[in-house]
Amino acid sequence: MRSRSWPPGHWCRILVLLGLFWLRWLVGVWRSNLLPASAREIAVPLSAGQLEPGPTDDPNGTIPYLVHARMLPDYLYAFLGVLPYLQARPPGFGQRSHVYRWDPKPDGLCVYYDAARGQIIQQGIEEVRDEDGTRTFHRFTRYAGPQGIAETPQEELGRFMAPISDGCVLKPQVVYDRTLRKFFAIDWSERTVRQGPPLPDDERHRPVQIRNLWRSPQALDVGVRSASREESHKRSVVAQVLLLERVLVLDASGRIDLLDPQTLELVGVGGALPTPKTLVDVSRSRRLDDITAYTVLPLVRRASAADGEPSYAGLAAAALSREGLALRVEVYDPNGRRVATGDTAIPPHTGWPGGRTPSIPIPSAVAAYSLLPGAQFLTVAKFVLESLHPPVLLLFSHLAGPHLTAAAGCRSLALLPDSFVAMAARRGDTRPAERILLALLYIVPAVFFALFLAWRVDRHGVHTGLPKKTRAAWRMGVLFLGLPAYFTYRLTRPQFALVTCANCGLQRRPDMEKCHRCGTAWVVPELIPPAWRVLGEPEPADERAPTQIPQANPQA
Amino acid sequence: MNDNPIVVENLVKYYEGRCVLDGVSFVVPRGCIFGLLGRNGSGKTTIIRILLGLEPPTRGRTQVLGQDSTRLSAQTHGRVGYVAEGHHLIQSYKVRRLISLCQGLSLRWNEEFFGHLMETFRLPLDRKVKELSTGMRAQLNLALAMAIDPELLVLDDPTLGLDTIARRQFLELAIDVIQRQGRTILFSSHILSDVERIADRIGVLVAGKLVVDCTLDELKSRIKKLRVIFPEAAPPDLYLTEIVNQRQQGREMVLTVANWNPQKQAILETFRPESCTEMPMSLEDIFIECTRPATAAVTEDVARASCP
Amino acid sequence: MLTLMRREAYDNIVYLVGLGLVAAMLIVVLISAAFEGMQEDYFLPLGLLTFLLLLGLYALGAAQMYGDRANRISSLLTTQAVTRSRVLAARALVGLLAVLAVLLPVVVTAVVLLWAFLPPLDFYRRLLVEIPLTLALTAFACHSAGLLVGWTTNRIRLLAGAVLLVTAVASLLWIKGFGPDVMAVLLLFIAATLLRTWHTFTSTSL
Repeated sequence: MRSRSWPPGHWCRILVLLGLFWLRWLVGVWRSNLLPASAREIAVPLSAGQLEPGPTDDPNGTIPYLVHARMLPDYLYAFLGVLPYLQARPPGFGQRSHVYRWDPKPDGLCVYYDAARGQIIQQGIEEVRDEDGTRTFHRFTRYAGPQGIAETPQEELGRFMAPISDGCVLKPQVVYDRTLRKFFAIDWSERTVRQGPPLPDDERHRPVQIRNLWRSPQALDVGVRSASREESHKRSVVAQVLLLERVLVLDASGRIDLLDPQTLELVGVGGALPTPKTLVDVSRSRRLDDITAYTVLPLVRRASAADGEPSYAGLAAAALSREGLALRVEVYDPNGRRVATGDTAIPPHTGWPGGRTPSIPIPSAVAAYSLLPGAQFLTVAKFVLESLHPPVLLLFSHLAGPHLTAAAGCRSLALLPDSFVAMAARRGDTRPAERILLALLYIVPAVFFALFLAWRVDRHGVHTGLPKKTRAAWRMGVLFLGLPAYFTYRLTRPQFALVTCANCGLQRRPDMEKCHRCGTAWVVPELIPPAWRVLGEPEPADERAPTQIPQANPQA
Repeated sequence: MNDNPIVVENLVKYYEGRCVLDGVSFVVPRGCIFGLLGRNGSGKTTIIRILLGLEPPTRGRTQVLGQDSTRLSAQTHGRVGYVAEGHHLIQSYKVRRLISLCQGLSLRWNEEFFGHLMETFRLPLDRKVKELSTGMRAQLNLALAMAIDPELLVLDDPTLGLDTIARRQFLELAIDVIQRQGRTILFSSHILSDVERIADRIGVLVAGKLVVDCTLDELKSRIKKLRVIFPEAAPPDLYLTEIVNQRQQGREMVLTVANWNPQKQAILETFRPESCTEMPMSLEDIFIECTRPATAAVTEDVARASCP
Repeated sequence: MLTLMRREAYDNIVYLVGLGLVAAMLIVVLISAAFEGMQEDYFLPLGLLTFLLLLGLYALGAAQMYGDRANRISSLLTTQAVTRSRVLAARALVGLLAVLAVLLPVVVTAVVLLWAFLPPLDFYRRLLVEIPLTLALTAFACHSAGLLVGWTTNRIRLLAGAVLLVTAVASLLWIKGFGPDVMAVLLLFIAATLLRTWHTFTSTSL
């Protein structure tokens, strides 16, 4: 049984899980489309005074600003495997690309990390003026290591082991090496490399992104604008990614640190990635894992006549939850204090045919699961689809729940990161025993379904005379692996036209020596052969008379 | 070389719940021409197809040239020439292309012999197989089977569609094959005169069983057809076993008995028949007697034989 | 084996020529896209042509088996010095060669275009291995699915298999992208499909 069942077993597993994946995806897209436009965007009003308390140079007092964020409708399409794969690798902006900067023009600048040498390389064409004033262009290549920059690759420059770089647009280029645990500032024009002090080797200091803090920008639209068009010319606070005074550094915990580009030291906490309000409290899992997309915009106070350079005025961070149903914006002042928040929600007193009219804002994720027209049907459909999965996969999804990233939820075939059992594992507001009980309650329908399938398999096995051990193995297989195992049995089960046993009258298999019901030997009642036989022993070849060529038969 | 190129043990075959073969066992020794006979639907082609691995058995074991039929190697296939009933060839191919294909797949190809056959049969090389007549397809099939110089030749109604001359040519070819040392032929045919002419051993299938498996001479000596005339009405029961067939009309009884021996002779004589004449039988006559539906006497015989 | 493979290729020459045409169209679109800066307008034709390629390979596999069953080709072949396993292996090898013959020119074109339009950096070396390899495995998976489903006399089943299976296999690419994880799934799928086909083909009556 094992050798013949393995191929269709894998086949069934892949195809069944694929089918269930697309059904779950459809339910997810449908649910996402339930949200009205008002529940897909936030506008967080704030004033310049909130970002910098105290007297300002604004003669009119506070000018209202709006930090606006909006979920883009392509969310669920954008996270399936192909697009993120292709978007993560283009030179210059792919997050998984080692090419930090690339100008496609033939004489354009290119900066990339050469893993073989362990050095960051800058290539391009520069203009050189000779003493007599003539201009020549020559191609250059420069190599930067932790110890310096040179025109040729040199061991003395050292090696970057596992660098993370900023977008390499501003000077200097800020690099963090995860192995050396230091920040570096590479100034290509001055040919210098400065390094900061080493970070403590603990869980609290794990930088993952520098300066351009975003993930999956195609899912979010975030910006800062004036609340009133007439006042826009007076705007003094803008979002400016290319901040000079401070460099934003995202930590693996979701904390946003501020780095001084001169001293290359972390000088404070700028804020944190928001945790959108989802269906359940998910504080047990890592914030970064729970977020599908985020964008962080540093805010800059524009220079006035009195001030010189524009100054850091805080940051606005927007994050999109798993399943793309909840968006949260948080605004922090320059000291890292949260001054304003906003969550997507169904506004109060919003009614729709056949629905309720809430008097308070309902978080968008909650509304999408229970209140919006069709939401309850989709929630039941989601639960039913999850229950069709093998119980053992549901159990693994629960055990791995806190560790499964949001991105995995968009393209996972076997495990279910966005399932109810996984949500139960991530709940921070329950005790461990309660979480396990909750998970078991969610798995129970899947177990019952698997029991039903196992019963059907066993019944058919008895009917077709499968040995006891084989039946037991199939029962256990179907119990653990559910629908794929059942389909595997259907594909590989013995295919015989059963015949009626002459003794007991029940159906039996013709390929068995004895009836598996009554144990009698083989009798074929419909064939009645004669009782006589004329049988002779075969003669060995050497004892046989030689073959004669037949004579012509006149009667033929 | 195997002493028994073909071994069949307790072969059972069901088609969609209908039993065709019910425990067939026989052996074809090396160098033998085995004629497999039976009525339409008796299972001859089924046995041949199971032997060659074209059909899986329901139960039982078959061996060809020492290998299990369900696991025949390419080398074993290459040593067996097969002419199928209906002459299944690739209809859309031209003759030339089909020959080239078979030649490319064969282990050994007797180009001279094949050329001689093609000349004899005068088959057009540029015509498609589906455009050939039944007889020409049979000839082509035969030529392809013979060209590989087979150790074992399996022929399933090979002369179907052949005219008299072509049939004679085939028989001569078959003998030519058998005269090469160690060659064996298994063939089934409805033209019993051909079988009688060349077969060493005969097998007859009736109701899923092989009721005859012996040499032709043995068959003729062991199955007797007797015309018995009794002084008064023929007795209803002669207390003879292995009655193949029995017809009676008044005082006359025509009796076909298997495994005729002095004991049965003595039993018959106790009824003091007026006369008892043996009627000579050809293979065709024997076949008709063996495969005719059982009469009442035979049915009682079966009932008595099946009593413990 | 070569005789068998030649026979397979000759009997299914129409499908091979069709696949060649689709590959040629893919190359033309790739070249146009490269010269026009790989605008989004080209993604749809590229995607459609790739799907057509997968469909064509499924059709090749299905035709190999369906034609065999309809014309009883294997019942002749297996009476020659050939086993059923070799017949099936020849079919799978022809499919594999068709995949390579179709994808290799496309990959070479892509490499030439990358070399012409991008700086000579190593960053896309991994892309050039992962993407073609994944596509090749996907294409071969579709061919294997065709071999499995094609052993039938039911045309509706063939067509349904084309729609469902090719879409399912292609959707695997859409879900997982390219890379070692999807390659592992595809390899398992191919192994399971070919083994199942082998079980069915070697145990059925011809």
